Amino acid sequence: MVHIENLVKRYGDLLALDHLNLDIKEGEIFGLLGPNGSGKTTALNCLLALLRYDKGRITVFGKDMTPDSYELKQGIGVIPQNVAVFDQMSVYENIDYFCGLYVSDKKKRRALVEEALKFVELGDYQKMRPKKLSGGLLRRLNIACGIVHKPKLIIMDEPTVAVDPQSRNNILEGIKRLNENGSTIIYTSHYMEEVEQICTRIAIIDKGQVLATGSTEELKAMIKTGETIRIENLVLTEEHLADMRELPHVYRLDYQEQTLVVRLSSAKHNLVRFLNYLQAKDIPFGRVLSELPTLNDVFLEITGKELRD
Amino acid sequence: MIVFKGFMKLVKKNAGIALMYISIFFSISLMVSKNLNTNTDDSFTASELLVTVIDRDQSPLSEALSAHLGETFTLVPLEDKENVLQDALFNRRTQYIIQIPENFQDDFQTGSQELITNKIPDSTNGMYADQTVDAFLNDVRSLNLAGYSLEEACQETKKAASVTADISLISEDTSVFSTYSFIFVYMPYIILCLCCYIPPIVLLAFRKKDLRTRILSAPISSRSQSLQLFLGFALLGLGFWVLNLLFVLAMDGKAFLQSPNVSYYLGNSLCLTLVSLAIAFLISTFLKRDDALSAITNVISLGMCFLCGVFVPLTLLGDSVKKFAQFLPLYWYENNVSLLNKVAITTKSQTLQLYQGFGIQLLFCVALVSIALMVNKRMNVIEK
Repeated sequence: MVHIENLVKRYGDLLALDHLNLDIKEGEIFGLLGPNGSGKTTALNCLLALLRYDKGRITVFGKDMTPDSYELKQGIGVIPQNVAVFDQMSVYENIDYFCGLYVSDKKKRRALVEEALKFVELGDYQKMRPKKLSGGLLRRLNIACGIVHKPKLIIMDEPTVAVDPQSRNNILEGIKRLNENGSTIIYTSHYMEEVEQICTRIAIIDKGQVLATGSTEELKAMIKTGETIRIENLVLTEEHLADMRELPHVYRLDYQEQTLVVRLSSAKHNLVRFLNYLQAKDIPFGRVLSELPTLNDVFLEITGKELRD
Repeated sequence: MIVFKGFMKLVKKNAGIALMYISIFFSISLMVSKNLNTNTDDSFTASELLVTVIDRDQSPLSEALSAHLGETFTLVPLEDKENVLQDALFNRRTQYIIQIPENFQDDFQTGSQELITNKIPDSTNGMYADQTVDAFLNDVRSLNLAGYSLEEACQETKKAASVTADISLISEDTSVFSTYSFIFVYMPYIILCLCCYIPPIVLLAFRKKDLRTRILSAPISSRSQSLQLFLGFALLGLGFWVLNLLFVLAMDGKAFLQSPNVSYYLGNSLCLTLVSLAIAFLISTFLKRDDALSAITNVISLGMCFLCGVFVPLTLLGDSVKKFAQFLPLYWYENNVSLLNKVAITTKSQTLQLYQGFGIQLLFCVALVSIALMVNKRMNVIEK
């Protein structure tokens, strides 16, 4: 559905996109995961032909995407990072206006607006102005304005930034429903949990390059980390740390502020071995957590830095 | 036309502010124009000077002078006694007493004649009567020296004085304006306020970064979007202009439509509207936040109105202020209005001056739009 090939975009000396390649298939919820400034929004703006790029090729629905590709744009819905609505129009007027950019028939538009209102559950607020809506409701309005014309491809640029957890879950559920209704979704975020929760395939981006692509499982399988053990409130000496590094399957060990984080390759009894060591050395400790690898671990292992750095 | 419709919808949402500006302006205009109508400067009635002639000479010349004064003023006959004359002047039963002494005619021919006059000290009436007497005697003397006998000279002077000329007023210094001319003087303030506030605040809404991204992602060319916004901008400006003209018609429509300068007033105010829209376009190019707009509107509208002769007449402004004001478009509007308010029918040079004013305003308009477009282009490059 979307094919990006060797995309290069420079802002003066800054290389924002460095031979970026993406292939997004119909029916996917495709996640673009990367830290702030990694090139996610730039890639989307190039995809929407809002930005000129220096090199590369973008095709959408099998056709080259250019600023004049109105036929292609008709099938795309955009949900920008910040809430992009008119403050002086009501909820209904806003959705109707953005629908009008795609659908000129008034009757058809009315039906679509009603449907969108129902989808984001804003029917009770349709006469209110955006300024009177809460953050979560505003985000829903933002989504309604982007999906009202029932696009085949929906581009969502960090739609859950600064949203409370409950509203975030609502939004994520809504995205899943849109996908079930047949829309392909490109979803950018720097929240790995979200991406992990809803995306069928993920591309990890950093410094304008795709570092890895695949499903969550595929990405996790690419790295050495099979388990992360976190032990809190314990006091360790250099000797203890050296001993622990020698334990089987340990490949990375960090100790900071009385918290020990150990990354181990997948194996049986990793946690038991650590607890036995602490007991043998008579070291008191607090909470113990054993976690399966996350996308953050994937990002950390590929780039050497945390996703939220 | 969805972008245009959206523009107009937002205009409608801001109609409250526009109405506030309009109602304040129109109320003040109403109050001031009512004051104008009670002005008594034009309720003039002619009054004749009361003159007493004491003719002790009884010569043809003295009689001719008496007759001339009788035709020009109202003669008040009084007894030739000093105390009677003094009392009459004191009581204002007469305003000017002229005593023609014996041998006046003989003395006149030798150039040694003397007239005794009594008048209210420093009065304009007295000076006017003095001038009338002097003018009559000078005319008689001129004719006498030219060969006419004294009697003939008196008759010719009388004949010449009776000739009247038909005068039609082609230039009138109307220091008191009619209501419509008053509205045209103050029109820049309301036009500037409306144009600098409403269109930019609407354009600003369309220029919000993410909203622009969303609109540009839609299947409408950016050219079409810009044209629709431009159309909205222009129609709005024209709407403000028409609204002001309707106000002029409502307040003083009959007099305005009878004025031979209607077309010039219309042309001048249209140029003003175009310049105001150009200023508004430039403002909206630089504007990033709408909370600054109110202050910007006030600074521009009040500043220009004070500097360019809207609130203070151009004639009262200092030379340096006027020189500076010439670099502002409003000066040329006010310059034209002050000319139109002075003259009923324009001469060729005045017409040329008016067209020059229109031209300069339009040049300002082109220059401002060009600057705005250049800045816009530069900003777009920076953003990209």
